[in-house]
Amino acid sequence: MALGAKRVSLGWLNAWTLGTVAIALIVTLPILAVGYVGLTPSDDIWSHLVSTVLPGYVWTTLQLMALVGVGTFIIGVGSAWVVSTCRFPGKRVFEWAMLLPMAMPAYIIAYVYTDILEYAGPVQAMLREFFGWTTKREYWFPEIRSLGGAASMMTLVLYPYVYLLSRAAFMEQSVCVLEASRVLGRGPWRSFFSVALPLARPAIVIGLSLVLMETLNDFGTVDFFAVGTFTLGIYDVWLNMNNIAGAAQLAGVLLLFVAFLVLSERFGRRKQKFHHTTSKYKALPGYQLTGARAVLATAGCALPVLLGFALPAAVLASYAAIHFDDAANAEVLRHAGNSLLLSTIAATIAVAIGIFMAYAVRLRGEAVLKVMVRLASLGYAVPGSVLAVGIMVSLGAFDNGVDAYMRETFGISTGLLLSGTIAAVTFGYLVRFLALSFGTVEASLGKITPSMDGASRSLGHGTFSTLRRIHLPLIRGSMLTAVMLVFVDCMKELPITVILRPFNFHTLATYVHQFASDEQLGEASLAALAIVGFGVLPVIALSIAISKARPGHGSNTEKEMS
Amino acid sequence: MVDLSSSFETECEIIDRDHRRLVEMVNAIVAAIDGDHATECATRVPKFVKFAKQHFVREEAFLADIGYPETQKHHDHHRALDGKMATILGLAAKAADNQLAREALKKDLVFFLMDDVINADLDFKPFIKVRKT
Amino acid sequence: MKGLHIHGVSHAYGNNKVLNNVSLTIPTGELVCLLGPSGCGKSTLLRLAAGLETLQCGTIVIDDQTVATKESSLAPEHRHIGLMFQDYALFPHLDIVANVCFGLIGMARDKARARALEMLDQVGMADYAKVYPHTLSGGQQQRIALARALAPEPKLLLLDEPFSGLDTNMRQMIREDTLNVLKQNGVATLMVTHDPEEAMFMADRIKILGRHGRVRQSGSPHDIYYKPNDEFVAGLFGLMNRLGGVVRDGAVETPLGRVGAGGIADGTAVQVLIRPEGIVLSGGNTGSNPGIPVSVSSTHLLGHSSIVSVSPDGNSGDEYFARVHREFSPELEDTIFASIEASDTFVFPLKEDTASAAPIGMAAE
Repeated sequence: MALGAKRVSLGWLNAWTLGTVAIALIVTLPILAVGYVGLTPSDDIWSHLVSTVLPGYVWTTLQLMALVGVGTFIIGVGSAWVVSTCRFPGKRVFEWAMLLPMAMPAYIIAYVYTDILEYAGPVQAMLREFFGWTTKREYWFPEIRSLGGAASMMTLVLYPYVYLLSRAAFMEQSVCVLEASRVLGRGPWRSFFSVALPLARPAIVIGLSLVLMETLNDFGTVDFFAVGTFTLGIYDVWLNMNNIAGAAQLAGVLLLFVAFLVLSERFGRRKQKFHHTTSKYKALPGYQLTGARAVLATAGCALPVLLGFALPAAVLASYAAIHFDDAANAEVLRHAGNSLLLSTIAATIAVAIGIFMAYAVRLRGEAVLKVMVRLASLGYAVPGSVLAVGIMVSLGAFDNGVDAYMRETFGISTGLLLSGTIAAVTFGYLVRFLALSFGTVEASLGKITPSMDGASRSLGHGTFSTLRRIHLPLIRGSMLTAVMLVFVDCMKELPITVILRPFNFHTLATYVHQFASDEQLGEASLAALAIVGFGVLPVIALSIAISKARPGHGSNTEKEMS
Repeated sequence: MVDLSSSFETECEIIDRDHRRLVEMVNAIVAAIDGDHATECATRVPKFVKFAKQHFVREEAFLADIGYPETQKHHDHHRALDGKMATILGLAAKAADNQLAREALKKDLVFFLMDDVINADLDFKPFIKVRKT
Repeated sequence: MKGLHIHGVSHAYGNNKVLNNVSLTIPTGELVCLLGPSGCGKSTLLRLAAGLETLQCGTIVIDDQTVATKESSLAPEHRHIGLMFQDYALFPHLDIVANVCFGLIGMARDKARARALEMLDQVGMADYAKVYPHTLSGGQQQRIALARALAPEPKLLLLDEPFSGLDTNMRQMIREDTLNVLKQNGVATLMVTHDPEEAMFMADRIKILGRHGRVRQSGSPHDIYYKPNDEFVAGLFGLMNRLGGVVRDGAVETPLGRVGAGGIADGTAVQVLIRPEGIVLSGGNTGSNPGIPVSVSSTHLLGHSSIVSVSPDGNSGDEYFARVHREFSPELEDTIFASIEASDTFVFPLKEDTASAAPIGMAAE
């Protein structure tokens, strides 16, 4: 039995599996490092933390999560329901405009609102003038720099996650289910609570989980408002108390919160599969709203968009116009260059790795691979501050190891190779946003029927050739989307950049953070505006995707496939 | 034309020798048909069927002899081929003056030999192999 | 031997056995059809032959080259096979000519193009060279997929339910055209289908796969139809009249007459299967033995034939279906007689496991 020369290895020892395992290990290293350092402290910092700051961090973080959760639920689900089931003035615009606040990082609207709502700001000045007050003691005004203020800021920019997912869920509910409910004698409100909401619950759970992950991740807002959450605590213990083990321990506790959120998200996704009632969807006809109700719907939808996007963007634009000068612009341009460079590199690598992993899973559906891919995707849930600690620890260990080895063998000290370089920042972005690129690419690959692979292979093309000639051309659109999503998230990213950046190195985000923290928002307004500008890109892409996916517009998968 | 390439060898000489002979006979019949000597079918095909039946007998005796556990099953398989051999003989009788019968005969012969007889005999190849060592 | 040689292939997904010791031989130029109900592992065998699935047990040999054993496997791209999917799997981003050229690796560009156009001409699609797949109808896509699979002159062609995506009117025409192209190209072909009529039309030899991936019978279309091994195979070709009985004196007494039991021993409980076309109806006084008098309870005109339900007189509880291939008007007949056609009647011993049932010769009186 003469066998041919080119055999396929049947074991798991192959480039795809090994490569994926290697990527997963490297990417999870920072998370493992946090766990390791947290569990093996050099001194007994833990009992100190427990007796001093920890209860406060836990309580504040829980309060913040609860407030943001409730806020985004009300705005997100409410607007999604109204937009997808009612007809009222501006409905078509709101369908996509509700997403606009996504473009606004929480820390930027925090700076803007602080600027206009503080004692010396225009709002209070106007009130004083109008009512003739002269001192602060004569009237009450809510303090923006508070837990409630931070929660409001986050709610305003994070509710689109809930909106997006619950709207999709409402659209997917066959109109027949809702009509059946109404025919059976339930009014629109009772139909909402007894049919639509329970059916959309898995989607809403996913949306809320994502919102809360972002809440835990936030650094800029809580830092500026001095709200003592975990993220701020980690930063504080590490940089101000100079105790990396303590920071790692706090990070470990934060990871427990995260684990809970990841589990609830997974739970939601699993449930979601059972909740698709019928495959035949008809566009929801919509209840025609008139009079006061129509006004209420329009106003209710307009308010979050105005407060979360239009107003702050307008304020930033006016500040930018006032503070426009060449010297400052040159500096902004330099930082923008840094941001662009880092984000482009990170996005390109993230998408390349995402394609590699998604194709590996497609080629060989081994259990090992699926576990590895899931591990590699964990970064999206881990707050930037925790990742930063982990990266600092693991890169430090790597640098010291290399240095020791080189000194021993060649007598050369290599010093710190990676710590405090832009490579460290890029790595941080990669760990955090890999899930984003992987998920996008995987979803897109999943739409290509496996018979395409079979056809190409049987026609004599190997796995790489098939990827290059069939899959990559077919998923080109999603690849660009993935690059853009990661790119924009890197542009906005603050906690990882702040902690890992080289000395005196700024991105647009850190530059805005630094100036705004010094209450010089005007100087940084152009940079902030630039971040928001980039942030609008994915919103546009999402809007287009949504309008394409609307029932009756034909599925784009079909077009892609046939 | 068919041949007894390595993947069809049972690696048991007495069986393979029979198979080679059967292959030669089938090829001769196919050559006769293709070479416009279809009249030969009337004599060649019955000879082939007769030899095939003798082969079955020899093979079953051999299998019983070496203690092959599924000898009975193989015997049943051979019995089940009676109908096909009858069909083949029927086609051979008509082959001289019926083009359709000639085409059907060629196909039936080749499948009968390569699939029903030889490929099925590979079932006991692992047993013989283990026994040899 | 040139062609495909598969021996002893078994395959399971977890505990679900889909192929059980399957062997087959396809000499070059011949077409073998795997026929079986959906989910019986037909397509798995195809995927194993293509190398898209890892072989668990057995050997696969293409043109004297062993391409897969339990231990090692040749990658699909090195097997020189053509593969045509149920959904045709045309590459949507390439035009028709580029689709057909896709497998012509290492061929000079103009030569490859010429070869592709030649294949397109063979399937009658030369005018569509510059068109993209999504603008074509199902039948046209099927032709392109066939041209693409055959262009590199594969040693083996694998067809997975090649006509299931076509509407009934198209199907017959495309089947004929496909068969012509296959015969022209003289390639060994393994085709998988669940449609018995399609298998009968296309195949030189049919292999019937039953549940759990066991081969129930292999033979020419004629063998399969007229000498089915068991009731499973007999039942593949549609509606059957099923009757019970016991063998006495080498025959079974049925309400419609005596049926010869072939070699089955006296006293065996048997099942008698009669195809609707095996029940012949006549208006009486046509022959010496017109059969059993019956009454007609309903008749349904299907177009080329009618299905008539009849009951033997005085026993209206038993109802049988007969197929009548001409206009049939029971209201114009005084009495109607039914008799049984031997070639469409089969007797099998009543057994739990019909797989081991020996084939039985048939004769009716």
